[in-house]
Amino acid sequence: MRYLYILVLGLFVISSCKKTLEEHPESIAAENFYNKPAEVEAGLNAIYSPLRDGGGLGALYQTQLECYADYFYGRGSHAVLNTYTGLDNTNISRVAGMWNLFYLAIRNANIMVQKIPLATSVTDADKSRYLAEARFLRALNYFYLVRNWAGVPLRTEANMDSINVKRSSAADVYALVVSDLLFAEANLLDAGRLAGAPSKWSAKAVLSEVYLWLGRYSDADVEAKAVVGSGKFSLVKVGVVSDFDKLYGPDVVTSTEEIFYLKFSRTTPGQGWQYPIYAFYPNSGYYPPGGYYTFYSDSVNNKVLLNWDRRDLRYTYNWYSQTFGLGATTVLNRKFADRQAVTAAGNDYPMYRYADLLLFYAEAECRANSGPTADGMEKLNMVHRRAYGKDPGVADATVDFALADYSTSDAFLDLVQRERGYEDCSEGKRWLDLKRMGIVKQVILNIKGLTVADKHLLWPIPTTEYNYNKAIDPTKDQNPGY
Amino acid sequence: MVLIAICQVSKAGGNPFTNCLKMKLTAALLVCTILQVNARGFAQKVTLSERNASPEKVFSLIEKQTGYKFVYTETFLQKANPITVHLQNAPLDQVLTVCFSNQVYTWSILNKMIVVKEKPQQAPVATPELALPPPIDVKGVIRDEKGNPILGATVMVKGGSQSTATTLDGSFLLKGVSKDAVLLISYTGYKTEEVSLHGRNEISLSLSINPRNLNEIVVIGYGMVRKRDLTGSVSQVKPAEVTSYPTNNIVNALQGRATGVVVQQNNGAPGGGISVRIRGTNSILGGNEPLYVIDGFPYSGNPVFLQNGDIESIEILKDASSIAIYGSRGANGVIIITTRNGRSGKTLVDLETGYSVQTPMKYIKLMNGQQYAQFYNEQATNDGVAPYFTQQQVDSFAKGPNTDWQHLVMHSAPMLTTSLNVSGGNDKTKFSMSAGVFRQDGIIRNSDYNRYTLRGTLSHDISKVFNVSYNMYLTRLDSRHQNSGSSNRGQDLISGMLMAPPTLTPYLPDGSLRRLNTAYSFISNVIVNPMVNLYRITDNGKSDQVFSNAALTIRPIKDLSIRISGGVQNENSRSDYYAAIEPTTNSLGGASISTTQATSFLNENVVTYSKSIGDHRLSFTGGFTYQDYVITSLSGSGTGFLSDVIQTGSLGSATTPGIPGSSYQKWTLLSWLGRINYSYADKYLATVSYRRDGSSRYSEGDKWSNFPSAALAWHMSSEPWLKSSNFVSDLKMRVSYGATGSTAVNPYQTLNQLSSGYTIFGDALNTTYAPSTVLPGRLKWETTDEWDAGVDAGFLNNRLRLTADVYVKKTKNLLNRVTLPSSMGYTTTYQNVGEIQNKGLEIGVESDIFKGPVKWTVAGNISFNRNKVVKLYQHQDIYGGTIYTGSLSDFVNLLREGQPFGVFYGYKEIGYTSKGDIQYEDRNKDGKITADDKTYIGNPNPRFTYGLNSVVGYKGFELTVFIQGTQGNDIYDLNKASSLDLGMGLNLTQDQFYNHWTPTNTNTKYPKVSRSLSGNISNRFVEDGSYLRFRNIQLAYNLPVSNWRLSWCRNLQLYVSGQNLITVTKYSWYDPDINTYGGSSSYMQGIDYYTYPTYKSVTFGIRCGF
Repeated sequence: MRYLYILVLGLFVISSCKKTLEEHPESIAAENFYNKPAEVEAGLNAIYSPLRDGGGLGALYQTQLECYADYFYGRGSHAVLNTYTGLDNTNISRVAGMWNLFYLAIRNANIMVQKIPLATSVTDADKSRYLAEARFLRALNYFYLVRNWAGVPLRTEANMDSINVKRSSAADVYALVVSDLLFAEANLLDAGRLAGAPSKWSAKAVLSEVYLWLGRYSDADVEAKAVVGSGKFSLVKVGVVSDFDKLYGPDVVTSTEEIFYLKFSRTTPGQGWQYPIYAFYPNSGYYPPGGYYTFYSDSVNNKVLLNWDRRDLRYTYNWYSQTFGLGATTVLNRKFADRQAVTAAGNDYPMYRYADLLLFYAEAECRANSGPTADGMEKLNMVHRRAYGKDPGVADATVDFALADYSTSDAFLDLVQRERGYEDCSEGKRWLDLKRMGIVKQVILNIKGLTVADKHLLWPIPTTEYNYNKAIDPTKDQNPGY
Repeated sequence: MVLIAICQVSKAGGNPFTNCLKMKLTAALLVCTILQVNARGFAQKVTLSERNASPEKVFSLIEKQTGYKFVYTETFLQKANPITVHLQNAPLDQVLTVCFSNQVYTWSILNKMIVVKEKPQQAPVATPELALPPPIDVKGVIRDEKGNPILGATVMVKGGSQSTATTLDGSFLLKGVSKDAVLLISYTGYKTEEVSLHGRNEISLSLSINPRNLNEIVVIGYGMVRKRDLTGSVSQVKPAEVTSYPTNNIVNALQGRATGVVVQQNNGAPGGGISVRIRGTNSILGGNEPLYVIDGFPYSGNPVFLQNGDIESIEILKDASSIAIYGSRGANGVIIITTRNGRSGKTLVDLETGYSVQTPMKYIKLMNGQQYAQFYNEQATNDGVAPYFTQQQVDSFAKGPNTDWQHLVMHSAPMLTTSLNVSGGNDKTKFSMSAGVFRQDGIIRNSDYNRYTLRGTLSHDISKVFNVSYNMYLTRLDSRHQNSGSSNRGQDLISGMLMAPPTLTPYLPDGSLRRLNTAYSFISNVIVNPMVNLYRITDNGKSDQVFSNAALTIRPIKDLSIRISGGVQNENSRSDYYAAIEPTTNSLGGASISTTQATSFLNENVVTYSKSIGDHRLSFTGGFTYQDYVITSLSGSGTGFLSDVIQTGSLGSATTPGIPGSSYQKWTLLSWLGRINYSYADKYLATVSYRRDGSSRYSEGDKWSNFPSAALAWHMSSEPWLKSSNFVSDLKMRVSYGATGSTAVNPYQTLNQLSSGYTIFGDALNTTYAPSTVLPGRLKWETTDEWDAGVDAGFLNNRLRLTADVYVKKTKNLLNRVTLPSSMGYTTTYQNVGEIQNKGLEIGVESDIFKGPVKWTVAGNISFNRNKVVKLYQHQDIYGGTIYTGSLSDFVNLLREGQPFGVFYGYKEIGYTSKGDIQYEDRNKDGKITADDKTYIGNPNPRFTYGLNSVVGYKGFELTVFIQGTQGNDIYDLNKASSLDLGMGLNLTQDQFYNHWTPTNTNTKYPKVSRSLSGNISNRFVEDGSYLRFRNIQLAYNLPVSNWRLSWCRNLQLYVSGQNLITVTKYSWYDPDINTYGGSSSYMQGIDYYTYPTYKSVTFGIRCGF
């Protein structure tokens, strides 16, 4: 009879089947998260990860744009970038990776925009500043997209789950960027939630650049002026070349110049900045993990470097000589050196710093007033003086530019552009500045003697988008030339 | 409830029926004695293997097999002697002659009755043959194919009544035999031999295994059947084939042995991965590896812990009717492995040991120092920069010692296998114990693979009703890896040894390692001195595996058996990785440890009931099983150590400790199963099976699914009109249909889960939580429907045997990675959309070409499989993973509707431009070379695969040749991607040095030497991967130990063999038997990209039994 018991036992087991087949992963389900402040903050933090990824602003994004710059040349698979003829297959997939990362950050931001209002144990005040942070980051990502691709599919918390979303116009993208930033400006606090999270000044800083792109110069002027005049920030003082380490160095946690940075740490594996590896030569001493020397320049054969005043401390801080078969005057950039890096660097990415805002202000002043202003020139001179080891706040006739020498808009804007080139060298900002100012073709022709093809001005919508997003036509909606 | 009902029926209809029949027949005894009927020619074949069994038992076995009834008196039972008989598939008259050989009774057949009667006191009329020559005594020794003495083999005089069985040492003595008598010698599982005495009075004979014995037992899912009763397509692999040459994985030994089974190694590393495809590739997302069932235990993963010598048999279930009983786990075929168990009788000790010397298959001919310098000077000139080497330097390289990096990295290496097996038992208890050591040094220095195995099996009959059995395996795997990372431009060991400049020495004069990536101004910035990967990095893996199961079998009544079993599979693995402090790679010392712990628990409850009523035989199997699997992992790391002494001993002392990681995963599977086998008159066979599975992995409401199957077979050779054929000795037709499934997705993929991560604020770590990039979808089973039609045939008294099958398999509801627009933030989701079809033809032929003093047996098999992607989600292509070679970055394999699985997709080259650049075909004629110009450039699926085994024996010598190969498959030789990456100072083949484009020589294999050259994934890298390989050639000699009268030694064989000594192929790289991404991806097939090369070897060994 024993086997009968077994059968009964078997039947008993079956009756409890339903429970047996339930899954109980030891992990968190989306449905019951984002209720407490710590949970919301963990969700907000996730928006930063894709931005800091090595395929994006963690390395490849700046590398891509710096190879486009007038003062750099690309090497290896990046060599095709400074032919200014558009992207080859390798680089098309590279920028497609960046598109993915920007949109991954946007998805994470959209989730938070959707979830924060529903949080059960978060105060309304906290909800509004959390929401402002999420919308700030969403705007920032769209700002990167619209500058490099023009109009893109606009995904917000309202349509984040739709598969097919058409390509919006650049104007619509900017409209969202502006509205998100205005909300952020109004609801973010004076200081960020953490070092590296946005404050309301970060929102104003981004907004001022957005307005410059939109040609809304007086709005740009207002936003830049608010930051410049806030008294919250100041230029880091430099006496000798190595003092720039206090601004860019790997051991700086934060500085008076920081408005919005992407933060990195060398001490935790996987959390360092990988961008420097593309700058250095192996065993150069500046960056122990190695070096791809993907972008390089030439102190004689490149006109930007040739004309760069050698008394300008930034020249020495930026460049060092390194030969690898391309001639004796080849130089590499060492702005983001980390001599103690183990796997990646501890330097932070200075996305918006005070010097940027001073120069935005100088430009916006000039454009809003249809001619340079003394205050604009003073702010430009502050940046310039510091580069010569002078006190930024004290006029110095030996280095200062005189307004009289740059009295026309064209002359002054050209000066701003040049100063920004020296100041932001290797920061991945140069190409977009030239593009925004409409002088990119002329500058590249002057400096490198090359014609920039129209298709080189925008990146192609990736195949991973139009192949699967049926609202985008692969030929009609693609950027010109692809 | 069904089960219970059947049990009761069987009780009601048990013995009374037979008893009643017996009585009636006894009454008729007197009438019958007169009517003697010659039973010769009775077709009923009987298999018996009994020792000192009671006549009652033997008779009932014969009754069951033949349908004949015995008629005898009580007196007979009192006077009868115990019967020893070992015969198989023998005619009834032969069996009866043996059974009555030492009885005082004899037998006769009347209708369907076997009448037992007293022997006449006086011999009846003697036959002339018996009468004329004076009788002699014959003695001799009978051995098996290995030379072991056979205990209990039957020796009988053909057409006579004398018979005996061999004793422990295989010897026998037959008295009073005619001088010209013919002896019939038979033993279960072996071919019956006929020996004419011709006056000899001593014979010595080795029996050979019957290669296709119809009464052989075949293990199938949840049971066993006689081979003749098989309705499905099952291949068997014999232990002799598994142990014929040393392999680090028994799966490796299956290569070329069975039709429909393609075994491919992913790389040549000791313990390296192997991929197995039974009848093609079925799944995109899921594994395509078959299910391994070891001693009844569905094993999760590849059975690396088994040692070859412990294998009793391997059965490969291929058609759906055979595998449907495994339901959701069977879609890729099932490989059933049965390990050795003890037999009652003398305790047997078997020792096997072999020593092999492995050498690399070949070395690639690379440029020497002078050629290297000239080549890159040409590149400098072409690119308008100053030459890198002066003429003086170029000349000095001709004299100077050139570094042969391949020889610095690879060497000949030993491999040692030893196993000891002790088995035995008595009527109630049987046991088998074994210990084994397998030690393989890799042909790449500092790599090895060691396996230590202990195994025990025990089976005990508590009573006639209860039996318990227990199996246990303990295995320790211990290996040092030198796995290539398959990375570009010399970063990893394999690409490094191929690309490092021959002009540079590995060490500097002060003994330190040379840094390669700054050695020349033009060299790859990532190339690493191969000596760093070889000697400064250690990567060790250890794994302890326990595999244990126990079963209680209850036979409460005749014909019914209930088996309750439980088993545990447990695996603890740990890997230790340490990169030493090394200035040339800026390593400050990096250590990482990861451990995994996996446990699977299985419970199976299976009831089997079989019944014969007249010509009807019915057997029913039903059961319920539960299996779960839990895997957890833990990892830690650290960077920056003060000393290399620490290795992985103290992660906490790292200057930068890493973030620890852990994971947890569990799945559960519940199943009901049932099967009915029915046969009528041994001619018509039918099988119906059904399984219902519930898996935790699928969405609520879609967790359960049903897997039915049915099969019919017709044993045509049992039909009267074919029975008398001299040509056709056996013929069976089969047809089957069934459905199987696959749990292709990992657990938890239907749940909305958040994954955690880290990000930095200030300089501090902060936790992040966000969904992954995979959007959860509603998922259900992938199902495969398969039709199979087959024929099994034997000709000329089974001297030529043939098995052929055709099949069509369709996998539906394919779990498919559906790509989402990247702007969603989610990159993929999974959906049950898509269809793949495999159809094919398999033919296996075996033949005993010569019998007699020279024996020659040949077995060959050939399998054709055609595979096609029928349907994909919205007709979307699926791309294989992108491979980045430094200069190329693209995918190779493609899944597209209407195309074979994983076809190579890329650009077509049409020669060179006037400047020596590669010109690609502008297929859509739009004036640009874009992704739209890609086309199909190769197919990784072979047209057919084959194997051929030949065994020639003469006296004690035996020559085995095993050939195996594939035909018609392409290999994507990405090793050659570096031939287009010319700005990196990488060493290249001599072929390229002699055969590249120059303005005066434009019709060349390689383009101009220029760093501005841009390449693409093109047909340039597609090579014919067909090969024919002499996988094993073995010469063995069985020492005539029996002649030496050594009582302690049963047999002793010495052999020498060579593995992979000859390979016929057009493939240009190390070896065509390669599949770099075979382990990680189901659709990145046929790519060779900087993988651990394969070896050839020579083995010396001894096999002996005591």
